[in-house]
Amino acid sequence: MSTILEFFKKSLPEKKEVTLALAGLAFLVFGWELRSLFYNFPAFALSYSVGEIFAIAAYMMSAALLETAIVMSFALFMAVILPRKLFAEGFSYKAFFLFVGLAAISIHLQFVMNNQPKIAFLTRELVIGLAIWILLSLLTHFVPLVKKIILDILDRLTIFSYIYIPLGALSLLVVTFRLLW
Amino acid sequence: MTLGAAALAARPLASHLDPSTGSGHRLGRDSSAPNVFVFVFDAWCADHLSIHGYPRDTMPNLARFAERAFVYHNHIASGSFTVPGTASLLTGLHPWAHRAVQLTAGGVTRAHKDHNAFAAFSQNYNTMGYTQNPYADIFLYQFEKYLHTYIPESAFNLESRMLSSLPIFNNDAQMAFASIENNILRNGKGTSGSLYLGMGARLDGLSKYAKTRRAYIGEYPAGVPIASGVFLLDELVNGLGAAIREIKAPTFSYFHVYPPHEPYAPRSEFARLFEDGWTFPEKPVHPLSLTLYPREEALANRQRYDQYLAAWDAEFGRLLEEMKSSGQLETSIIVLTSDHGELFERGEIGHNSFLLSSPIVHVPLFISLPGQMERKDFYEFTSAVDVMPTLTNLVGLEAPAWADGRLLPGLGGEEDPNRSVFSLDAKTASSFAAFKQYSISITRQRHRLIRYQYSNYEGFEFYNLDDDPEELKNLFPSNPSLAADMKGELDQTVADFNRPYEKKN
Repeated sequence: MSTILEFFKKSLPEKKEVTLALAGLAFLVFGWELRSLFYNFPAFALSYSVGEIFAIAAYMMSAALLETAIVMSFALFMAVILPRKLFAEGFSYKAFFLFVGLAAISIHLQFVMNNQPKIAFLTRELVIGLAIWILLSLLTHFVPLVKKIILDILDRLTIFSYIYIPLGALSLLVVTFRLLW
Repeated sequence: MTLGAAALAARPLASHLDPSTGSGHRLGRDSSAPNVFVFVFDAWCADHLSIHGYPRDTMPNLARFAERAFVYHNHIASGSFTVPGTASLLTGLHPWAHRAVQLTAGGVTRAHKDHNAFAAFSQNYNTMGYTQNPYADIFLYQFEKYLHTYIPESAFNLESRMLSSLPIFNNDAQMAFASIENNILRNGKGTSGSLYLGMGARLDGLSKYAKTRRAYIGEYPAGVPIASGVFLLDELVNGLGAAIREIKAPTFSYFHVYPPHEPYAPRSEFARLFEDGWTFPEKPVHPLSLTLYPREEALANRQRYDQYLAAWDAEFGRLLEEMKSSGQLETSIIVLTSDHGELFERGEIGHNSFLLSSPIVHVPLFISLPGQMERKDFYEFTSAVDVMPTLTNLVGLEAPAWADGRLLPGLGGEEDPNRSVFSLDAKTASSFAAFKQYSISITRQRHRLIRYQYSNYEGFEFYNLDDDPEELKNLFPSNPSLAADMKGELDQTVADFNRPYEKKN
């Protein structure tokens, strides 16, 4: 057991790197969820009470929190199983680029794909995404100015996680109460 | 598949619990009053029925039913897609009044949330609602306090993709639906609120659909029918039949089924029909066409749609037999109609369009009364908003004061060539403000005026529907006096419905 824990301790990225990546991820996930909420707000306002709109917002923020946790766990899992130099070192920006890339693919697919999944099409999207991810990671790794800019951005995004994460936790509590009572 | 009592009461509704709203059915109803069945076939275009002059015999069982029904040959939907079309049908209100005009609308405006067919019937009738279309289901949720029995939209599907119907959400089903299905994990058009899981869920759904499609490739060579979940036409009708068998008079039932909505999925025995070489008149691509489909593709889709209509008609025939054997056919008021039509012209396929050309709003309306033995035809224009007030009048209930519609000809009303019938598409409009971008049409005196008001295109089209039913020759540039008169009425209507919102701005 202690060997497994030791392995994880060694393999996991540094706390500071994880915090920065989490900030970037929470910004993307909560930002997109809020965009959806505000996009539909005019329709909600017509037919739902203020309390019901808050309930919908609570569901959406809870989902964003859970999604942040799931995707972050996935990134940490990748960091553990991949060679340390490939992902765990420079985890903050490498994970952030991964999140941005997956988000771009996801948004693009939602706009263009409304029929059966075409394997060739999905593969092309993933290959392009992977190529861009490698390019950006290398650029950030080898060009100090780019690295500084990216890390500064992530650092500033941290402030949003101080809002989003508690908001998500509070929303999860509200939803739990609604489902139980 | 059979539908048990448990499925019929899968989700307890407020009306079961609140004696002030819907428990009148326990106070003793007149069991000799006729049942009322409203069947809505989604995206069902009247132009594709031989009874209205279409050269292909797409729906012979329907034609048989029509021999004992009131047939409205020029019935017009109030909207061009499910949300406004269904809202108008259920409320008797024009889209600008109920304001359910957006694709993801949360329902009708609060001012009209108690103004609907279920409310009108619930004091004297049991009420039942079922729809396979999640966008129509929004209204069943919104009107649930007047619904005595709600059948979940996935009740007759092979699978349910609705997370909100899981038992964990029983205490909060409406909010869970509005949040999850309508926002977080959307399955249809539009983006999901969930950035990553939304796409994952969508890919998972599509992958499962591909598997199901392979499993049923022999039975459904063009693909399996799918609404929010996959379903089979015969299973759907079996489910409806079971639900109908359990109905106790008097009940007002609303059954909104997905066929013939795309994807058009005829069973194998219908998938080779209409290979007749018949072609539809060529129409120019419209400046507002979103897709610019080539004509060949439109023709192929039209043929597939016709095959799907024929396949659905066969199942509908089975449903009629079922209703006949249970006595419901002879003793009930039966309404067949649609929320909107379907386009295969001007660069468009389907109904995701800004156009208000005839096929997208010209929908069937057949009404059969108890014991009716002969057919009655009406050719003047009627509106979807007329259906609800007509039904309340037929069963002797007070006509709802809020409704915009009037009584249908032959069922309490008279044919009126000077009556103005409207359709509106304002899917990009803000619900808060005056409508600035919209398509609107007015039809009267056998003529139709369409106004397109968009930032990238503005224009009027005016057609003589007797001489030019295909709407090929736009007479508006020649400035006929009737066009000017109808434009004046249209302008006034727009000004009237926009005024309250302009004052606020």
